[in-house]
Amino acid sequence: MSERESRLRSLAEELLASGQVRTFIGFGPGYEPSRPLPWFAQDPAGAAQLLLNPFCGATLARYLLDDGSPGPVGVLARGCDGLGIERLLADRRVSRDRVHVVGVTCRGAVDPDKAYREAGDTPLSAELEGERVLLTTASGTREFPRASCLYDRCLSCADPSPRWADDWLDEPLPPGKREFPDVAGLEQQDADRRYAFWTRQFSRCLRCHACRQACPACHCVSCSLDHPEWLDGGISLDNNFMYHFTRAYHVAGRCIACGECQQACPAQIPLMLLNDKFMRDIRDLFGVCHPHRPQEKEPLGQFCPDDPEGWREGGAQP
Amino acid sequence: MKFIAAAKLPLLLERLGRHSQVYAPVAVDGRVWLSPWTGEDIAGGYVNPVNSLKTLVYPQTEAVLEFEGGETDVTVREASPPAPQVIFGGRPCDAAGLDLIARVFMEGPFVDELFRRRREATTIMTVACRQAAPSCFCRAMGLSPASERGSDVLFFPGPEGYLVEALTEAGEQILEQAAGLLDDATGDQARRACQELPVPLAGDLNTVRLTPEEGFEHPYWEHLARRCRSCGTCTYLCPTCYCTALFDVTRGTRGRRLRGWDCCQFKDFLLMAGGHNARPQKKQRVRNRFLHKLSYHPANYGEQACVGCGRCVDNCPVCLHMAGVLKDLGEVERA
Repeated sequence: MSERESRLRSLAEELLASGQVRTFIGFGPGYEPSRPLPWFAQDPAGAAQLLLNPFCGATLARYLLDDGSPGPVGVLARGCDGLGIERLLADRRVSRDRVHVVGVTCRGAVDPDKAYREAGDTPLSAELEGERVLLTTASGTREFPRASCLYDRCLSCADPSPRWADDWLDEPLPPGKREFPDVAGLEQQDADRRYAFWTRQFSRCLRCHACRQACPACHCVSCSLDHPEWLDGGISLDNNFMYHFTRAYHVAGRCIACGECQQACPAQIPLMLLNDKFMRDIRDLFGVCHPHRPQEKEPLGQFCPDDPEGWREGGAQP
Repeated sequence: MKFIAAAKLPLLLERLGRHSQVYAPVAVDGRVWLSPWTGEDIAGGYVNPVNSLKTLVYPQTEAVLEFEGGETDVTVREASPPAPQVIFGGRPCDAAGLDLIARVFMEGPFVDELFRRRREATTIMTVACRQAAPSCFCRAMGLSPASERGSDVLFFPGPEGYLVEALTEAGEQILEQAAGLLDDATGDQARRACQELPVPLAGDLNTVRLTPEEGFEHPYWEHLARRCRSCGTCTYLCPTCYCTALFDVTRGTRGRRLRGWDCCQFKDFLLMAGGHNARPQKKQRVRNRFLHKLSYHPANYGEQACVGCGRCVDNCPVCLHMAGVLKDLGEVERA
């Protein structure tokens, strides 16, 4: 057991025992070592089973929306979880006094499928060391490059630690800068090729809503995409375009770049390309340095009577 | 038993394509889908296509009828009958899954005409498995990498091509159309290799049964449902989920009545006219998915509604899947 893991367990146990939180959300044992499960500890015995290792993959912030228990909820937060929690707080879907954030610094999560492909066998444990990942299988430990083992969403991560926490398991790392290399590549193509690209992507959409249900910015109590007067249930290319454009516009300026939508998509649609395009444009058009981090002034999310851009027809000031 | 060389397979599909829509496994952006085939490279080396055979016989949306007119004068036109189709490259688990849901749609006093027409217009050319994924558990569900259920023709892949066996009359017709492309088989090795292929998740999971009386209020469901995200990945990829919604799409004076998949994990799945939701809680919806497959379906049809294809295992973003639940239920204390 790592030092951070034992600290997490004792901290969660303390929080639960003292009644500071009623549930602690983290990761616990799954059906195999490389796939820990989201875990909801409600007593010290549950806390004693919490896990913290590089296979902890899924993001946790959205579970704050589900919780029906009356007391506050403790939650383990890596950088992506932290931004997700900030998103829910900024959007007033969760109140600050009901969340107790335990921050941890994450250097990327190992994708068990990639690890299986790389190692040729079921991975039993993983360790991150700089640009290398040490994977242990039944036949021993071998070394692989980071890029071939981590979740895609972790490879472009600029936020190893949450920006704030109520407790820390280790020293937070400063945030980096998100770059958008793939957006430029797509923009260089002409409209026909871009259309052909997205047609191929969206034609495989199952409309299973895995992207929406994974997204900490997609938390409307009632979603227009469930209402046939906005989008009928027929699966067609047009409707799939409509679905994804609606979602992309709706999370524009609020997307936290966790990449969980793309990770969850069973059809492997590169949804982060759309989100990244919006983020890059927001950065360039509004001068927002870090378009995926919730901030006081949301460039697309607030009404402001002295907005320099007119909103009436013809651009006249109101 | 016959043999077809790998190089002659496209010629066979081309020939079948003269009278039918042909589907074959094609790699799209790195993953294999059963796709309308127009001469693309036929993918190999996949364990299971992303889409199961179900998706081509019971499409995600299909037209039931079209209508046009005003308040007093409405013309209704039935959807045109489906064109004949031949599907190459599905796996034995999926073919069994298709047969399993065919019983639901076609047995008993109420036959679903949409399903029946398309099922009868479909010929299934299944390719038995030479490799299993860590998530495969067909044997645990009483099937095998060479199961015959639901297939018209079974292909056993070998290094040079496929052993071919017709299992039904429709399958025999395929072999007749393949005249000149087939040789007599000289051995049985490819078939035996498929039959003997080990499958990672073993055991007698298909003996797990759950009666609602025993398990309905068990705290396990609450525990399980906590991590569910209420998306439709499991049900939409599942080769045996078949829940249906019927709805109209109208533009001006014209419209279509469509039938499409529904998903018991969506929060408004049982939202009734008038606003009552019969399963408002996530726990109820998650429980329903597993009780349907392990209790209600066995009660009605004498078999579990799972074929061990492993799609839910591979794709659920939070590992809430049938293999895991079956394992858990073997251990869980019944209330």
